[in-house]
Amino acid sequence: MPDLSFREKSILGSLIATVCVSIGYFTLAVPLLLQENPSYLDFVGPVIGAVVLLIVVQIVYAILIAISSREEPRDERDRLIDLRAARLGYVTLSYGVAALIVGLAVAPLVGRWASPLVVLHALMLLSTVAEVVKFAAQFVYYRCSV
Amino acid sequence: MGRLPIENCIRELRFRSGEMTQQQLADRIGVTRQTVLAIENGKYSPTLELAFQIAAVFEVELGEVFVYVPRRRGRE
Repeated sequence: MPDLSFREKSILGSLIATVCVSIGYFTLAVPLLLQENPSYLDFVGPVIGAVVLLIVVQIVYAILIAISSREEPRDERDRLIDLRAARLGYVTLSYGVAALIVGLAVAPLVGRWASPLVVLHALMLLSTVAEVVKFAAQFVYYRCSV
Repeated sequence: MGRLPIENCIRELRFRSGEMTQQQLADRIGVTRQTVLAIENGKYSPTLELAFQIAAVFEVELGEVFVYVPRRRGRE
């Protein structure tokens, strides 16, 4: 892959870390959700672990790329890319929430799937997907330029 | 993301200005080298203010740096 700028490396790292930690968390969470009567306490450990892992990974990665690359101040192109990517993330989140609202509206037909824990995880998943979309958009805009 | 309808001769102006590097130009106008690269390759249109700053660096008029080339319509 061609030489990446500091910002591109930072975004790529955040993208990969978010995807990996999220996959790890939901791999643990989904079986718990499918149990007969899942408890909130079952998820405390995985949530805390995921959050701590994400923070630690991002800090370590940030230190590594700061050592290897020169950080440059944000300019107008960086701000434009951030705005466009944030808009895409927002649209993703909006459509997802709208779909969730529709799903909740028909929840009586689907019984347990409308439990608070499931809704909570659906919102967490939507937030994660929106964040991933934002990071991916930023990276694509930097590579293909905007 | 295709080429924009604004072309420029920044690369040529850099070479004529003592072979100024992209990084040197970037430092003088307050942007990153990647932004200068994107502008030179027609992948990014700078703001008007930045365009004037670029022209000021080379001590030329704006029209000598940037040229508007309208896209051809398909059915002309």
